[in-house]
Amino acid sequence: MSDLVLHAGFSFLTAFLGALGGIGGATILVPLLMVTGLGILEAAPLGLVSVAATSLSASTRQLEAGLVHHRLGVTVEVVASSFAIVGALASTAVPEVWLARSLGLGALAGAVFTLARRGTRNRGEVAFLGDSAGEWPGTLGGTYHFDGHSVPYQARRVGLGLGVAATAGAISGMAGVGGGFLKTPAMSEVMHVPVKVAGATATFTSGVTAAAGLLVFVGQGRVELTDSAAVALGALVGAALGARVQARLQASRARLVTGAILLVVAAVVIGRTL
Amino acid sequence: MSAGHPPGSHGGAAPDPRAGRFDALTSALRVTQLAVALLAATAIVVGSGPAAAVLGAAALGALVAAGPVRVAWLAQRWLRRGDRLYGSLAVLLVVLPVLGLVVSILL
Repeated sequence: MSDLVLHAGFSFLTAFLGALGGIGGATILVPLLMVTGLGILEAAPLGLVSVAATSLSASTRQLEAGLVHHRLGVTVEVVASSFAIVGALASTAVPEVWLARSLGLGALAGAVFTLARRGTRNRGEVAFLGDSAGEWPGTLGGTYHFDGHSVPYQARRVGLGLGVAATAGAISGMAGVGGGFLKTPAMSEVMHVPVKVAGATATFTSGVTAAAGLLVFVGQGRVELTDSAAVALGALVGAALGARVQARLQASRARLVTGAILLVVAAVVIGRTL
Repeated sequence: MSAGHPPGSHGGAAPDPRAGRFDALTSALRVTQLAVALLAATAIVVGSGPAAAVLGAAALGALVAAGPVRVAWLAQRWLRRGDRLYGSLAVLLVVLPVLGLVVSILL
């Protein structure tokens, strides 16, 4: 029972922090579970449970705010899920230290992407006033509302963004994280989608990545059901609170929170493998 | 797959046809959140044994299904509206996790 409460508590805390930055809680939960003694092969399935719960928890609020771009998410996710399955299948054959290093390097890359940019790329436009927030059907563009403005956007450099998403998927499948820490910067920094839309879309896609990876882990007999339930409950509640706070956060602050969390995760994970 | 302009993007008095398009999806996701939370909480209270495992499996099943079912809902919606490119991508995305499960069992 104490382990269940501990896992639920960790999951709550990490899902809250993860939802703030749109990176999902597993990027923090998996390293935390490793620090407390679990191997990455045991921690990875619990990480993906946290990812799926975070995605589900944040979904209603983000849908109502018109922040999720489903077509962009599905496009990114087809690539990410394919590589997540390959990563999950390969994870039992790769030495644990390399799995951990791939997670740490991915987090470091995400931090650099996120912290490198300054200023606002997508600005409000009078021509779009009155346009409802959301995606434009049949395109990878859309509008979102922020601070009283309607902000139009259009995904650019889609091929390069999908390349980063493939890397995120492979790390996700191997290390049991949602990959949002790479997908969010892939969409915001590479594809020039507003960071809040990128974060919400990454949260949506991470739920699908988690399903793909978890089903592989179920097939491999690596999913502990009661522990998973504890992690799911903690993540559901933590992510709901995190998404509530994130909706009020300025884009620059959201980037700062995301970058800072990723730097700490990268330092802890890489430090433990040296 | 890249550029595009919003159909009728300029504001006006006409009601927005996109308003409320995700109401059904949002309600279904809210019910799923509640179901997963209840099942998981009960599993924690029960603690161990076959009952806890069954409750945990039910919570996990609903959690895993939520993402792909949402994509399936989007796929049928887009295909009905003639958006074949993204509809087909969404169908592919629903099939992928099942493919992963089958391959992992076979390996």
